[in-house]
Amino acid sequence: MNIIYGYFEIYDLTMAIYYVYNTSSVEKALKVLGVDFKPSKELTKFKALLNENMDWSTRIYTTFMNELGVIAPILFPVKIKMTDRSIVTIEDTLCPSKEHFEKIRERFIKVLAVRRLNATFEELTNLLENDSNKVRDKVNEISGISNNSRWFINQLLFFPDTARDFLDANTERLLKLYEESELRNRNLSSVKKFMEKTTRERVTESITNYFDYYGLSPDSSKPLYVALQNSVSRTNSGLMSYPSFHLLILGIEEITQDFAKRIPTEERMQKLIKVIGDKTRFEILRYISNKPSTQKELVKHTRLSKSTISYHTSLLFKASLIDIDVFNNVAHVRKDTFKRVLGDLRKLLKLGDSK
Amino acid sequence: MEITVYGSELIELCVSFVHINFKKQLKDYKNSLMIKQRKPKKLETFTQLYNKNTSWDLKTTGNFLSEIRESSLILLPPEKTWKRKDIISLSETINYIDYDFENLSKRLLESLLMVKFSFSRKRAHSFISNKTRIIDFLQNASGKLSKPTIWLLLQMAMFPDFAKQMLKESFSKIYELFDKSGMKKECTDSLQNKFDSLSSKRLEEIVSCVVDKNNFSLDKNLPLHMVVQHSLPYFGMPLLKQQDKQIFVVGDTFEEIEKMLPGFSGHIVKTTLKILADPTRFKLIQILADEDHYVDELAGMCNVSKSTISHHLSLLAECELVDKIRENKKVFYSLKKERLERFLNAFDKMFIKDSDEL
Repeated sequence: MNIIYGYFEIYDLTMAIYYVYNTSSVEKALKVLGVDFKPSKELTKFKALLNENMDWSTRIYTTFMNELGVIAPILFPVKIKMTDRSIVTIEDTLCPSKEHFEKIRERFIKVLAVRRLNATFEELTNLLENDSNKVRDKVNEISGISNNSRWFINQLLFFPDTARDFLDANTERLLKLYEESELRNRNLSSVKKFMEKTTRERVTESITNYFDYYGLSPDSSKPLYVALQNSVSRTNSGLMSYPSFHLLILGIEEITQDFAKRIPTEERMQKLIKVIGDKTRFEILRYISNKPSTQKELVKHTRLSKSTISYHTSLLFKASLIDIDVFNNVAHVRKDTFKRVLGDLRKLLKLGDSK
Repeated sequence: MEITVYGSELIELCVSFVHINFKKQLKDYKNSLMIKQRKPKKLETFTQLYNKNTSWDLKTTGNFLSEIRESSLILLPPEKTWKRKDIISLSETINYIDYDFENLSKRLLESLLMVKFSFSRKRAHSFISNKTRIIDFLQNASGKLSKPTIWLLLQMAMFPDFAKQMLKESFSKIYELFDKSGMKKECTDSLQNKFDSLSSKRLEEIVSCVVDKNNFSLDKNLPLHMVVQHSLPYFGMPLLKQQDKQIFVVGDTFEEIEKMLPGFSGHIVKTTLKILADPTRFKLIQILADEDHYVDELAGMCNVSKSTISHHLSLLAECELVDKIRENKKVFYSLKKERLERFLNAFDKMFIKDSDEL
């Protein structure tokens, strides 16, 4: 598999925003998975600054980045393609030219059409030209996102110039907070140090261990882009697969520490059964194993709050027990992981294969 | 293991007659379960109709059914005449009895010898091939079965044609009352309803609940049939092994079964996972997977205090993963492998196996 790893600063910022919005669930999830994580004082400062400076446009921007976290990153790296070991700053990803923005918008429409609106790219562009009301209705029907995100999608579709200004202005604003909190400095220097000291072999080996740990065997004909991040340095985005590439946002310390060695079967298996054995998660897993569902359906079924469900599903996703379709949010059980748990249990407890 | 589920009007009648003839025992049984038994609405109507219209032959037949209980499963027609999740009608059953009466009588007797008189399968089998021996045995049998039932069994052995006529006729008359009382409709509607909402995954869980609770020792090579009945919600019948299948009867209170029975329901799988997630307990199980050990040995091998080990062992025992065995003054522990195996299978069924709707 062709692995290209590098640093897009905008992803690190996205990760920091994600942390601000989901602090307790990120921390709880890491604890259950046995990771000892304490936020850096810079990250804590960033959180405080962001909360202080939250005006309407920042709120919309950060909500959008948080809710469409997976789609949002593809809004940015368009000007520069990731090359191995490169560091791309936020300034480089801002899009001053109209032409670049047009490209971003087109890419967004493609993804939106297929994954969220059940339409082809052509159908959607057609509709945009001839029946914009219908498109607005359809955007309103997208489940699992807030009105803030809907508003921004509408801007992107119908008022590209506003969207562009909005995107750039807010990225710049956030960049200032990012700088002021010193999180930027901290992250950049960690990344530079990482690039200097960590060998390619180390990275490849850690990623192999990561795949082994989660029992993943992604299609190796597609390249894997690994975007490093340091804001929440012991967590990752989970592997996201797109039509022509895989993307993994990976914490630096996961490469240098957590996945530096192959994790013993027993340890991995024990963490997994601990994750499965929890009352709520067990119920979620059983529900999903009968019927792949969105978080909304899970909220309805379990009668738990949205944030509780979100915490549990993200933990299940991190533990690779479920897959969440990155575009339509439908979660389904990852049978491979369960098979592996079962196989490991049989092996460790010296029980033969069933039948 | 292949599981088939269905209802049967013969079994509904059999259970209704248990209600009519064993009222007191049922009440005690009900009290021992500490539950309020919901009764089918039309059961009393049927009881009254039956008591009003009964004649000696109906009485004998009703009594017979309520006494032979699970052995009556012998009389159900084979699978090719009905579909899964069907309710086998009484007329179909009567046709089957009519068609193969002599053979069925023999098998019914064989089954009763095993169930009521603790015969081994082999002994029962050789017994029924000798008519005089059977007749001698039945004439002297007392206590386990009532006189009218013994009489009917003797008729079956001595005058099969006569017995057949009588059974057929009285079944038909009883069936009319069953229909007239509304019980037939109530049972059909209720079961159909239950079956419609029964996914194969849930079915397998219910089956393992019942099997586990009742300690049925299943034969892996035989298909398993579960007959569901509506007439007495909490009433079941033990596993009956036949040559081509094994079969048991259960009340249609699936929700209660899932709640009450500590089988391999989701609850048990969840608890077992929690038990296994602890490193010390997992190590204990790994050690016991090799061979049995005394408590002292286990404490040493896990490098923890004896009291810690005892605590973990008691949790494992609670979850039925280990057996505590006393040997003079010492206690040793043994792993219940088949229990672990069943947990793994339940886990497999729950999350891995694709199961289609039956």
